Amino acid sequence: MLRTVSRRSFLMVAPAATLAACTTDLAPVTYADPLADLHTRLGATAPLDAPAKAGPTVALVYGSNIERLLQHKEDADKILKQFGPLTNTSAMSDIDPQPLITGGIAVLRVKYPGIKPLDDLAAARAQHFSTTIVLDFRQVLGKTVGHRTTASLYAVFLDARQVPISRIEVTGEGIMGAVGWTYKFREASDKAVLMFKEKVDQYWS
Amino acid sequence: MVRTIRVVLTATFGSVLLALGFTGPGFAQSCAAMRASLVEMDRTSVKPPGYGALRELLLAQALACRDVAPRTPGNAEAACASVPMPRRDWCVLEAQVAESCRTPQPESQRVCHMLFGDGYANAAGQQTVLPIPPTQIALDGRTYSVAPECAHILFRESGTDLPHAGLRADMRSKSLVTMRELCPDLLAALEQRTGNNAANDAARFWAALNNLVLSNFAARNAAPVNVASINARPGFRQMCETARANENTCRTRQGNMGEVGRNSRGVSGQAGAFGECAALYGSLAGMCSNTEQVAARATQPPAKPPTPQPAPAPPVAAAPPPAATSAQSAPPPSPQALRQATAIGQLSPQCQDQFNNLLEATNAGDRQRAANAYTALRGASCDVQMREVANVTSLGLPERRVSDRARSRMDRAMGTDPNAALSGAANRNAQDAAGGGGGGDFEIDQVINFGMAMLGVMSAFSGQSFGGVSFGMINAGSGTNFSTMNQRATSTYGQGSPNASGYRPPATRCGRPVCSTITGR
Repeated sequence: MLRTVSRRSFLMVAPAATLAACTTDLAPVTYADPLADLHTRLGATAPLDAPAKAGPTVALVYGSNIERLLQHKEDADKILKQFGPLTNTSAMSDIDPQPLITGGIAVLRVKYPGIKPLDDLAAARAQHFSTTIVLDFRQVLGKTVGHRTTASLYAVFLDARQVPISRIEVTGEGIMGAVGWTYKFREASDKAVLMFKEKVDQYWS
Repeated sequence: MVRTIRVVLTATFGSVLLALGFTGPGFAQSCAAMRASLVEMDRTSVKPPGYGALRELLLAQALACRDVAPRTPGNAEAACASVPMPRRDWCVLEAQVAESCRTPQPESQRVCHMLFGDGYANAAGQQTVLPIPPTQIALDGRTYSVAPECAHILFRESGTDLPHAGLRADMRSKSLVTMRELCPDLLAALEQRTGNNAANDAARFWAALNNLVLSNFAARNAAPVNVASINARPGFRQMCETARANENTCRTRQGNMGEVGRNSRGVSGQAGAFGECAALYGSLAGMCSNTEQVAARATQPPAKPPTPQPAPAPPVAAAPPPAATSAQSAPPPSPQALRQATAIGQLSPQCQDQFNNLLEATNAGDRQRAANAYTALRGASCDVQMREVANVTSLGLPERRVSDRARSRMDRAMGTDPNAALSGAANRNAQDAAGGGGGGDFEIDQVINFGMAMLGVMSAFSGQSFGGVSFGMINAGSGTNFSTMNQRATSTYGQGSPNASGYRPPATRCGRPVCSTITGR
């Protein structure tokens, strides 16, 4: 009996151990505007939730923060892995931004089945895409139990001249639980994706 | 098509076509001919705005050019025929190595360099790395052989419209030091021609020099040349159109060299060749754009005519020299130029430093420093200001390229069924809303696996202290004490167990020294 209790207790606290350690060491990310270093205008200058109609060809380009996001994930993984056998693989999986990326792109793929991913705006311009959507992602992890973790999707709709004419911003939240299994980023991510779909369906055609 | 460009360029820039021709596979020239063409282009062409940048690219290609010499088997034996044995074998071996180092493969270059030093091509019997001949500048009846640094300064000046006075002064001050050191004769001749002392009357000197270079150091009595007149030449227009079309073609072909459906940015192999082609024509097109912009500004009427100022009648004997007249008759800054100057002038001191860094590094050909400066300029503190600069200068800011890891993420997203991804998100969200989440099924599985693995690890720690960094952080972070982790240890009497010393802690409700705040046991 005692051993059973011990095992259960350990299962509960070990991930929390590495999670707690991670939260204290991981530096927060400073995100930029989705169009920073991509465009001469800021994405924030595009009207929020403005209706926009896509042309026959739609290009998809990553926003400015993709590298910050992926670097953040790598940094967090390094900290989590410092614990060797105590590594909280659950937390590592939870903070993976792939579901947010896949979900955000899935929304746009469902809306615009012919959407084509490109490296940058210059490529879209060179290939004369009638619409370009810049999709950006943000991840803000809670500091400790009870804190808020957020997953955000930012999408900027550019017309054929690559003028930003509409933007959508959504943020899903997760609250780090008392036990602190994970950051609840996956939960926040799912919420963000669903909100994003709702807004894309409502404003963009 | 390339032949057309050559013809157009011939009509427009004299021998500039020769320097460009080498990029086309159908126009294979020797490297010596390419370098000579570059010198000829400098000698004969007018220098519209952007000429300096185009020349830099051509110069880099000319410097990188290596002739492929035909191999002649048996040369080594013939060269060593008179060497008596047994040294002949060594002579032949040495000659063969030298021969192979004339046109070394990339993997052999290091070895060749070790064997023969910097001038290994010469040591190997054939000069494959040719210096660029000095630029010839004909001015007022005398021809000057100009050091590359001086040529660079002069051609960079042509048609430049640097709106930032501080930066311009700084660059020109450094340029003057270089010219005094490397081409003092030419500098003296330029001062005489412009009628201005470069140090004492820098503004007039550089303005006059600008016009002089633009006209390719035209004679005093030659027909005036300005940016607008160059821009209006039919040959120039045709060349620009062709350059732009070719740039697009090469860029598109470079993009098509990658995997299907993905725009390639390859810089090696055939994609790299197309990339070089695009860069070359892009540079030519850039010169065209600069010329068009300057010409457009020159033809714009001034927004507000300057208020006439009563000027003292100039003394008859103090008539300015022709070059100074040219500088004085320059049109007042256009509103566009003023906006540009304002945008650059409004950069914060920190951004200003990086901006200067960028330009200086570009000027010096220091790619790494330029890249670092640009990265800093596109950082959070300067990015907004740089966008404003780009807006008013109508210049596109270079964009960051997608990393492999980001591309991989995109590929994974594109390889997933979008409907399945969305329904999965919806299902998980519904579970979370119903309180059944707890991290989700997937997470729990992982936690279990993790925990099972950890139990195995725990057995190795039995009877040992669990103090340490990680657990110290547990207490600090969560406010709990995880005494249950030691439960197994309390029932162990192995080495290191507190019980081994016979010590018995005081009784608690859970029977252990400290009860878990989680389970209460």
